[in-house]
Amino acid sequence: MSAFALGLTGIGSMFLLLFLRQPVWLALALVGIVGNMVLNDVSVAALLAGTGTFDTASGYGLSVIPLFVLMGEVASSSRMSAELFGAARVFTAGVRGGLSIASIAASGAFGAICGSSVATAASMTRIALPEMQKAGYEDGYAAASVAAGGSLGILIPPSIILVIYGSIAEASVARLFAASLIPGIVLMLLYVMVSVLLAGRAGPPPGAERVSLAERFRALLRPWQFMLLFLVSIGGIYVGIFSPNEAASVGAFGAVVIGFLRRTLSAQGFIRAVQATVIISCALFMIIIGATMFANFVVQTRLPERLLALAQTAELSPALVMALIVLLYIVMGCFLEGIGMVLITVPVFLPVVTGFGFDPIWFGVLVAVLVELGLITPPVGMNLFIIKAQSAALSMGTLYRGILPFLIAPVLLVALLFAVPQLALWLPGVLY
Amino acid sequence: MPPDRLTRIFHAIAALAVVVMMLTVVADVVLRFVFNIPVRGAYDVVSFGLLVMVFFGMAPVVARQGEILIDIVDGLLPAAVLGLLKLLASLGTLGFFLFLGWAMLGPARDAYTYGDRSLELGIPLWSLWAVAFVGLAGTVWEALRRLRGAGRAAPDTASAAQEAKS
Amino acid sequence: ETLKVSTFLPPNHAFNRMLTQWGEELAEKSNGELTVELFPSGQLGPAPRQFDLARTGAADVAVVLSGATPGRFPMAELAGLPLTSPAAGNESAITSRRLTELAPEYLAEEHAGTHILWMAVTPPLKLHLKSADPSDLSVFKGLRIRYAGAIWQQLIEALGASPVPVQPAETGDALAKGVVDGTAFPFEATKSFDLAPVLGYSVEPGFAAAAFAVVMGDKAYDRLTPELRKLVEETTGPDRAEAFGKMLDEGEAEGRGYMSAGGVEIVTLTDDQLATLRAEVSPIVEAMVKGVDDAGKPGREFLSAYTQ
Ligand code: NA
Ligand code: NA
Repeated sequence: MSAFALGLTGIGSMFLLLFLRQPVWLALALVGIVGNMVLNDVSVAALLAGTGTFDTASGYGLSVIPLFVLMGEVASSSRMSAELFGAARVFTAGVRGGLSIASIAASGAFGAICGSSVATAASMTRIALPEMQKAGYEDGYAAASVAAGGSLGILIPPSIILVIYGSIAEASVARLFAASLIPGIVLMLLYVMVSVLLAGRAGPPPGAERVSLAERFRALLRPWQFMLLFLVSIGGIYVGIFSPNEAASVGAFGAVVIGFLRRTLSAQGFIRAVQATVIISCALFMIIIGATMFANFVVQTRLPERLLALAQTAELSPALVMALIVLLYIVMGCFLEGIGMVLITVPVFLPVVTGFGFDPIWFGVLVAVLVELGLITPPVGMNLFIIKAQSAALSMGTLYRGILPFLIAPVLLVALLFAVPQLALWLPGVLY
Repeated sequence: MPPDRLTRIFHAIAALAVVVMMLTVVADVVLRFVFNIPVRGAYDVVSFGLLVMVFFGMAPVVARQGEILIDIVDGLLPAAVLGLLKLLASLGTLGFFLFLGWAMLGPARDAYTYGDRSLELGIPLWSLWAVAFVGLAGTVWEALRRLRGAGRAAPDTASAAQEAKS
Repeated sequence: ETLKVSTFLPPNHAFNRMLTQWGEELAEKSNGELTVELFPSGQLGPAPRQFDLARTGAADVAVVLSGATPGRFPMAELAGLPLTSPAAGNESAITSRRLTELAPEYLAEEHAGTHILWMAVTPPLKLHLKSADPSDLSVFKGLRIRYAGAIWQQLIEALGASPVPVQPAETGDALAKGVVDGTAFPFEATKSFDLAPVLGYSVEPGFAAAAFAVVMGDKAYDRLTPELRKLVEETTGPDRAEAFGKMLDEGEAEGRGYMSAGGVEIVTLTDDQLATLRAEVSPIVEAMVKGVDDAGKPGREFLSAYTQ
């Protein structure tokens, strides 16, 4: 079998294992190891597995992942996500679809201190979904609002995906964070637009509660401790006094201090937050370890290069090649998990993309948006699974139908990024 | 399956590592801003903390089946087939960690014979490999326990977030 | 026959360009029988693993940064000692050639399991400061300088400054925001990271260099037919090292031009200052050499051959 065919077989088997409900990390790792055995031999497969795991687990660059997860977990344990939702809810009171808008806005805000989409979605599901269901929102619409809003977690900085991209592309993480802020806010607004458009059909008529404009704005100031946390930690990255790692640690520490001072965080709550951080982070690291092995195998089959060479022999214009790359990401996003996608594709595509004169920081933002889209595209969308896992009564089909109209928002943002690259590049240009 | 003592201890060690990472970086920041003293070794401590977190945190993830997976077939297949798939996952998990343990022997031995050291503090790297092996042994133990449980077809379909968040 | 070549360096780095060029040469001279497939950017493994990749056969050829695994290549690391170079000069073309010539006698043992194709020594890394004028070396006291590697760490401490580890890609921002006051970098890197706008001064000469080995694993070597082996040997060795060194020197000269054009003042140390510096770093050099000698390896002998 040629390396090319072997690569395709490997990817096919990986998908098969995923659909047979094998853990994502295991599917990636098994195909990576077996593929390497076929391609080379057992000793090579062993070396790459043994050193790859140890190096991933002891790499300073990725240590920022548990720290940002911890910050989000502590903030969630000390009821900050609930307060955000509460504030947004007052602000949108009386608006048709108000709770859906509130959950998207609160997710976006929470994403500003939480680096993981999965964690953002998980946190918001528990808070917002029951409220919407109680108020008579259509199941699919309600769940999709949470899924879409939660996906903002990796575009609005901090972002685990951008940290991983930065380590592959040798790009400054601080710059990537600055570049993704405005696109993140734009995407949040686009999601809100979709939600408003759907509200007439899927949302119940608003209640009769009357809230004055002054009260609405006062409500927005209520989660001030959250804003403080954001300003000190993430703001610290923008101003340049913190590295991402320091921002995450100071942010997590700050969240603990605020939680204890306000008595919203107990010692028990803190311990639970740290324990949850371990489980979430280790589940992520197992995927990174598996994805490293899988990427290592796929890279050796030269599959991405051959696809690219095909495009080049066809003498496609840069615009068309970029369109194909975007399309490839969208298709892969339907089936693959985000970290694996980044590990496999970025080393191959980045030189081509920069060769066309695109900025690597801009490409990082583009990749983050596409990965984010992948989190909510059926059939394999992590955010959808997270929500499904927490609401047994919800059928996967309802969730799939509910999310479809929301997919237009990230697609629009991709088009916007091509039309107006300054959307991503203006802020880092000003800050650095 | 309720967590056994080993899982709880490993989970606690991993959690402690996260807290140590956080406090080390915070101390580094404070010393830098307030006293203008850079801490030598913060880089190494954070890397080691991460290693401990990952290698000791995998056992609790395996024990509670806290892995992220795609369960769209759950509604479509009969329970017996699902049980078989779970058994397969548990077998695969055990097989992987046994392979990993064997695969790590070579590089660990190299780290020892070559006297590899960490960049900042010069700590011998074989000691870190030793820590990794302890974590791995616990993970293999949990994978074994899970396999025994899967043989009895536990109807537990918890996924990562639900478990982590509960 | 296809050789899998692994590097941890970004796609446009001189090493990748040279290895591609070498591959084209091999293909041409062997009538397409021997070709090269390049895996850059650490796709097969990070910097400290490159040697293991070649030794175990995961890659056929790998580029090894000797300092990435402190203690594994103690002799090769000596070539990167501060203010240490052959009498003929510290240009990479000279240092790389010399180190490659000495490799069979002194370096083969610590690279066991592989064949050394050629060695490379970079042009020495220079110190660059944001705003302090280094004409007087005492300005270094209390400054925070970005470094990589144990030798630079000691060197910066010897100058009375604090070494701070910063990722290469973050260095520009760290300088702009005052997280660090200076950095050790080759000119070539200050150009590729576009640091002229945030730097005021560069110090010449450079202090300490980095040594690299390009190795072929024994497995790959044994797999080749005698003719192909001969071809590999003919196209590598001291001449290739010199050609590659020239490439690095040109990149360095280009980077220097970029810095001057960008308004960075390049300060040359006086002989007195150099002598002072030499005195300050001699304990570092001495300790490293003694360490190698104590391990039963001919460190001093090798160093005197290298600096001849
Ligand atoms: Na975020
Ligand atoms: Na998807």
